Amino acid sequence: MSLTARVRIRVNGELQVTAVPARQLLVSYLRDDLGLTGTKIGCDTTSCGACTVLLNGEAVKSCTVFAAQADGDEVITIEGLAPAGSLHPVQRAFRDEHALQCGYCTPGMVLAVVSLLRELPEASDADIRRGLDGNLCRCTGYTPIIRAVRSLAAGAAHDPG
Amino acid sequence: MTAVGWTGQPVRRVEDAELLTGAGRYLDDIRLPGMLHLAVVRSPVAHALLGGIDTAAAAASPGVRLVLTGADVAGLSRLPVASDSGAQVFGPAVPILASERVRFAGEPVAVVVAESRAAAVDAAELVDVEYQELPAVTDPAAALAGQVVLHGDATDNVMFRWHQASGDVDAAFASAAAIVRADLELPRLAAAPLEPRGCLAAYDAAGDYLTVHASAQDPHRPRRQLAAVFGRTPESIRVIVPNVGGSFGSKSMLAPEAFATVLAALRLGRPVKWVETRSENFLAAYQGRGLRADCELAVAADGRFLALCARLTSDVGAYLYPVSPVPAVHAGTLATGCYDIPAASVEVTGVATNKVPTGPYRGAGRPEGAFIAERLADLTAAELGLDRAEIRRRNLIGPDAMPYRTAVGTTIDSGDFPRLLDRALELLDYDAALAEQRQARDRGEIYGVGMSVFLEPGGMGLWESAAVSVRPGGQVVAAVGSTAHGQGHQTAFAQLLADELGVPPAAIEIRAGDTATVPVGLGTFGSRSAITGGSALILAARELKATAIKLASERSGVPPAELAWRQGKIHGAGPPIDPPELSVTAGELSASAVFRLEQPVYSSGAYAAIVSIDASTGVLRVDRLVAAHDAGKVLNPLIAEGQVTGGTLQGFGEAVSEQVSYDADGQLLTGSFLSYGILSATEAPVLQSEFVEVPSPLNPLGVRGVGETGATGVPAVIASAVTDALSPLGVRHLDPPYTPEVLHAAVAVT
Ligand code: FES
Ligand code: FES
Repeated sequence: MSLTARVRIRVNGELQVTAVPARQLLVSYLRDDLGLTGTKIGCDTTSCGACTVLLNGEAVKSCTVFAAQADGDEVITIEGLAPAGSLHPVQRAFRDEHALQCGYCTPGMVLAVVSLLRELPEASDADIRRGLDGNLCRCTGYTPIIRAVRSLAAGAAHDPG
Repeated sequence: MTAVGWTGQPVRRVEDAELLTGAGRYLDDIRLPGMLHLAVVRSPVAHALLGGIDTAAAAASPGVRLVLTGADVAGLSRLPVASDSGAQVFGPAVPILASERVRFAGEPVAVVVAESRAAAVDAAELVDVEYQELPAVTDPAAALAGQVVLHGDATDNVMFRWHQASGDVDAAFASAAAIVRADLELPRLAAAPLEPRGCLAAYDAAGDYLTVHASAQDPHRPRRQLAAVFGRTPESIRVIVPNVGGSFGSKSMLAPEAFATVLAALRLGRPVKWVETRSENFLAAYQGRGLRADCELAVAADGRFLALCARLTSDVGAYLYPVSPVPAVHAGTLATGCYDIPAASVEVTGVATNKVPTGPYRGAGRPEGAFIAERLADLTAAELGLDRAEIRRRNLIGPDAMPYRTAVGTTIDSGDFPRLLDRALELLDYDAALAEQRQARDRGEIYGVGMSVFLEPGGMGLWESAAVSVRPGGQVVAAVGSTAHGQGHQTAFAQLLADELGVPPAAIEIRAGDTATVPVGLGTFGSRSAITGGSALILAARELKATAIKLASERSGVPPAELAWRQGKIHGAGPPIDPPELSVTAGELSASAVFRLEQPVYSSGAYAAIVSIDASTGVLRVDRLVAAHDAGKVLNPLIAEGQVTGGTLQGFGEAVSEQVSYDADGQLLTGSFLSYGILSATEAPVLQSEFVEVPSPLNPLGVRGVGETGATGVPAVIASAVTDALSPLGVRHLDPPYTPEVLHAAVAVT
């Protein structure tokens, strides 16, 4: 019999009090139980970052965390980043710079950028590249993503290139 | 607003809002009531006879509804091997689930269907399969030698052959001042779209109607495959392609696992979903490249190319998928590159090995063809002591020679290759780069300058269909056979129609990806959508306008010549007429059209690069990477640049890090993102690129394909720069990928 754990998780502002199987990953809880399918799964080795969410404000790969471990935590997924019908500045910058093609890496990439800019509001190009190292994109070549982030980094004007 | 002209503008994509907010629906995001989940039992060994399969424990496992093995699929037609590549094929039909023998590690042997994915995966581990191992052959040369034969009824491992020759090759070689030889190899690559493969099948027994959602490049080819395998009429099958998380050629055909999923849904009468893991994608999705080329180029004393003789060997893998011969044959047709070579003999042999099959991956033969031609150009320059730009200028097909039929039977419609090369070298500042190289070498640095010129035939498949209708209030609905998986068709097609019909793009809805709502089409592959799909849409829109004017004339008595279509309405017969009012069926006015091409449309381009190699670590650094592309008329520069930038990184990955490897027993060594070198943001080179817009004469839009340019030009330019960097050390040629290990060894040996 699989063990279950009772958890209280605030997801996109809404408190969820529920029992989850001990072996259930956070990504599966979000997608399968809550229907928040904006969070993607791209690998089984915690390498791609498609499953990135904000856990207590910080970018975390939700395939590396058991749902039970998130007890008492606050999760923001791509669906909860901006009020319905509007775009967060990072989402807008992605659209303006054509920083997405197939869009599969995009939710995770956007949340990774939100977290990066919170930590380093004046991120340099090198900071941006390093900061996104854990999020793979097979379509864009990263250049437009870096451009989108640069357009938001307050210190961007001082960066060469 | 018609004067504005939407076409050619960097219009932001309409697709994005949904994808950016997590509202996109990819295959695994779709849930149907009563849906079951399928897990696949795969062979752990590369070559074995199948003994007994005991499914009892799996079938009894909690939540399991069905277990299928090879015996259950015996009644189905196998996947057809026929392809329209022009090759002579010998490969036997492809099984859906293995029976009697397994031929690659990862081959599907059984499937388990259960109430939850976890239950299916758990039960799959309980399926007990007896394997009597056989020796495996993984190297194509060894496979050709034929010690181990994969397919019982064959006497060798040859899966297909193709040969093209013209001109007097022997006389050219006899009279040549020099014969330049090259043995080249491009390793197998994983397409690795970020979304793995999957499908969701549902069967309505009452209506005998099958609905299949598939992560695919288009809906129509999968529907044809399903109809053939299950012996059903296409009309009884609906295929829907939802949002697709990338494909790069790797979702051109339905996977064998998808047919098993459909069979399960037919048997159970409940929806069944199969979504593979990343590990399964690496193991069992067909791979790209895997080509060896053994080439000889006959050259005159002045550096003119006289004849090419090339033997290409394609590492087909265990089975010949319908798409398997396509890339290697395509490489054969492009082996003469952009050069005027009067005689050629090119032979392609596809060989069975105990590895997953190969098929199209971004470029699908174009990068291989460019690699062959460009390596030969560089090697000729080295042999004759000529400048590499100069040897190219002496041999490039000139614009006045177009259309040009190559010695391998390809007709290039148009292009200005010398201008593209010159422009790329200008962007690089070639002379300054060479001067800098002399100084760098004096300082003991390893510094290389490279260039490549390449061709990109597009519009493959040569036809596409489209339908356009106008509804009351001016809403336009257009349906087109080609389907997007990241290329931004919705936006680009709406731009085209907005100009043609004089309505804003926001009033246009583009439908694609559903056989129930979209005319029969071919799909998105080989850089064809803008060319054929876009042209078909324009023809349909023109047909619609003509029909509307004819009907308005009949109704009003005003001659057609005095009527005009402006801003979505008919003017000239009193108050402007809303086209739907003219329709007899009322509601909407529609027209459809098919666009056909006589032959592929060629785009072309040139890259130039400066690289340096750190002697102590072997790490390659790209100091400059520039490109000039002739993509014909550019519909949306934002999207076109995106295609180039993305393709460039894939090409760069191919050049410096990507390579599928197997051990001698046929076990995959690169089975995850940890071991297979997809590049990350820290490694992406900065590209400076430019479009030289020469409209194609072959289609009403003047467009050419742009989807494969980066993947095609970049491996060749990096090879050119790396071998140039290493040339003072006596290196003549190196095969990619140029990993730090490879480069460090190359530096250390000398
Ligand atoms: S799915 Fe979590 S890192 Fe790939
Ligand atoms: S946009 Fe396709 S993987 Fe990033």
